[in-house]
Parts: sequence; C-alpha cells; structure tokens
Amino acid sequence: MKYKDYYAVLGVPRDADLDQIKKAYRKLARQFHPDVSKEPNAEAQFKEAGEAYATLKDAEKRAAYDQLGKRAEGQEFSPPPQWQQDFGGANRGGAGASFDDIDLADLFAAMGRARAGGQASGQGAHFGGERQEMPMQGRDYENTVSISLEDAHHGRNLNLQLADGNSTRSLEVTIPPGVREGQKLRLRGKGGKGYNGGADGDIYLHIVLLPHAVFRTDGYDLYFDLLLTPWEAALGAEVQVPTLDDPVLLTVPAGTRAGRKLRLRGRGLTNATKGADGVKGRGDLYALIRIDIPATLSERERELYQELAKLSTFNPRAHVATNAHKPKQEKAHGSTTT
Amino acid sequence: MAAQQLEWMWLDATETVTLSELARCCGMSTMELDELVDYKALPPMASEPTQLPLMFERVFSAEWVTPLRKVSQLRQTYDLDLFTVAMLLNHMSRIEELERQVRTLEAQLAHLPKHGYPD
Repeated sequence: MKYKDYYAVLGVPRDADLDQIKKAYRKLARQFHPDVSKEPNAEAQFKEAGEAYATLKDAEKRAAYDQLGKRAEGQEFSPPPQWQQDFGGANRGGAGASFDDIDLADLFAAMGRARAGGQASGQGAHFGGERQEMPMQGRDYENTVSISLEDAHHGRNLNLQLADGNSTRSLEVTIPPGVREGQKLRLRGKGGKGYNGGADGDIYLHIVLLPHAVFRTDGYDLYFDLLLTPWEAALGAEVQVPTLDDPVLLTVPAGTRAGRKLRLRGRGLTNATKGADGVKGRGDLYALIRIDIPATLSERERELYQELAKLSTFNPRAHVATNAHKPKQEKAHGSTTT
Repeated sequence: MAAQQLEWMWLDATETVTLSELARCCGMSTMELDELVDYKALPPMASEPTQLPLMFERVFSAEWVTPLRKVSQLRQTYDLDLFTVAMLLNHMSRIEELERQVRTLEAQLAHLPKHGYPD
C-alpha cells in the first residue's frame, strides 16, 4: 500500500487542531472545486483534499492514521497486522486478507462504514468485528434537458441514456405540454440501484428552454417585438402576427405609440397546472410595439415625409424641452433634523 | 433496448413532499430539516396523517427539493454547519427570485432585429 501524507495534502502541521484542518480543507476545496477552478488537475486535487479531510477530521481515523507514523509520500508500507485482521474480517469474509489491491482512502472509508455497522449493532468497532450491512440508497442522477419552445408548448417524449455501472439504460420520459423555463422534474426510484435494502436513487431533470428566434418567455407568457411602420402606428392597422400555433390577425389601434404592449389573451404557453375550473390554462402573448422606418426612401416617399414635416405640429420632445432643468418631482421621504 | 415509460413529479409549488421524503431527496436527516424549519429557512405547509394512527408528518412544497439538494451538496463539500446551511438557503431563494425577475425584464426588453423577423 502506498503512503499518502494527508497533513501535507492539506498543508497543516501534524499537530494541527481541528479548526486548522477544517480551515485548510475549506480553502483547498474552494480553490479546486470543479465548478470554480479552471486548473487542469483541479478535480484530482479536490478529491485528494476531500480524502485527507475525511480522515483527519475524524478523531478515531486520525489516531489510526497517526499510528502509521510519518513516511515519504508514495512510500510502500504494510499497515499493522491487527488492521489486516480486522479489515479482512469485516470486508473480505475472513481474517488476514491482503491490502494489496486497496489504497489508504479505501481503508479509512471501510473503517467509517464498519464503525457505522458496529454502532447499528450496538458494538464498538474498529474496522469491523461483526459488521452489519448498512442499507445504502442508490445514486441520484442530475441532468439538464434543453427543449425548444414548441416542445415545451406541445409536450414531447425524451429518451435518456443513463450510464449505470458498466452498462447503459434507456429511459423514456414524457414531458407534458406546459413546461416552463427552469422547471425541475423528479423521476422517483429511477436512478441507481440501492444496496442492502436501500431505496433506489432518483433522476432529477432541469428543463432549459432553447432561445427562440421570435418569442421570449416569462413564465407562461410570451413576448415578441411587433415592428410597425409609422403610418400603421398612426392610422391603425390589422397585421398578421406569429403565435406558437397558427398566425393570427391583430388589430393595432390608431395612435399606437412605441413601447406599448398589446396583449393576445391565451396565446402564450400551455400551463400544465389546471385552473379552478379544472381546465389547463394558457399564458398570454404580448406584442411589444416598435416603430421602424425604411432604411432608404424613394423620391416620392421623401416628398411625402417632407410635406408631413411642414404640416405637423407634433413635437415628441416637447416634454424634454420644458422639463430639462427641473428636478424630478418625487415624494419626499426620510426625516429632517433641526 | 426497449425504453421504459416513466412517471414524474414536478418540483414546484404545485406538488408537496413529506418531511421524510424531503430528507431522502436531499440526503439530510428529518431532525436536521426540523432544525432548518426552526431557523425559519424552510417553511412547512400543513401536516399530513401518516400510516401510523394519530401521527402527523410535516409537508413541504416540492419547490424546496432542488435548493435543499444544492445546499446539502455544499454542506458536504465544505463541511458547513446547519445554521450556515439555513443562511445559504435563504440567500439561494433570494437569488432565484432575483434571477426570475431578471428573466421577466429581459423578456420585456426590445430585441430588435435589423430588418423584421429573422428567417
């Protein structure tokens, strides 16, 4: 078995107290956490720090580890004969098993399991004695699933491929109509198999909606930019607008200004939750009004715009001109002292 | 290989989980979850009768499953105490709410294409 210097891994002296050990571990865990660190060997370093901490934070394991004495990192050594006997009895179905195919982390993990078994059976335990098999829950799987807005609206079947030990499993999940961005699903008992009577694990699916070319979502509501010509906005118009189903005709009232929202009730995403009437509802579709102009004008268009400019008294900046040097009228708050 | 048809459960406010089920989901004990309730980090709903007569079990909104699993994982990684976990849970709920608000505002902002709708 190869020796690992857990004190060196954490960068603490051998007589460090628990606070020092915890602080050193947290620092390394923060530095090398795979979610945070970009370093290529971060995951291995994170695992190594975790292994060292799991042993040194536990007084019993630490005492056992200290019995090994200080050695060079990676040095081959044989654990004390008593360990061999206990570990063999607890884990190999007989005393005197060899340590050749396990490492230090396995050894101390076995010690923890054996102690839990000993506690469960009312015995103190070192590596085992009469170790009781503890029920262990199966592994949970977490998966992010990206689906299109259309699939969220209409529902779809997903085929999940799960690595289960050395084999893969195929699971079909029916995503019902009415999935929102960020929603989570739990598939109970469909994760890894439990051991010794432990429950099977679960699968957790995180739904992410793929960006859509036209629509943006807010819960079950949809938003899109409705571009109007200046004359459509001024005179009103009937325009064809897209929905997740078929296009519909929307009446734009005369005098519609930029920035207004026109609501198409019940044209948003299907709401998976039934309302008080027992019917599944739908969100709304909002058209955000934007006014666009042609990038280039024909001669006649230019003439007409020039004529309008001469004729019209409309000044959209009148408010700015009047109030440019006035403070905003806000309700006074706070207290005054005299 | 034939695909297996599955039953699922939404992890949002439309579903509920019992205390013991929540403990199973997030890898914490029921006593630890009770402590989070005491710290006002985990609001319970009504209690539901259990299989044992005259016994009731606390029930929670299923929307707590995901944040509790996250904080439980952080707790294991950084060996955090339960009070810190309670604080973390509060902050994570706040962040989630703020992210939801950002998504709402982003949806309402104009995203003007150069010339009409994209193909």
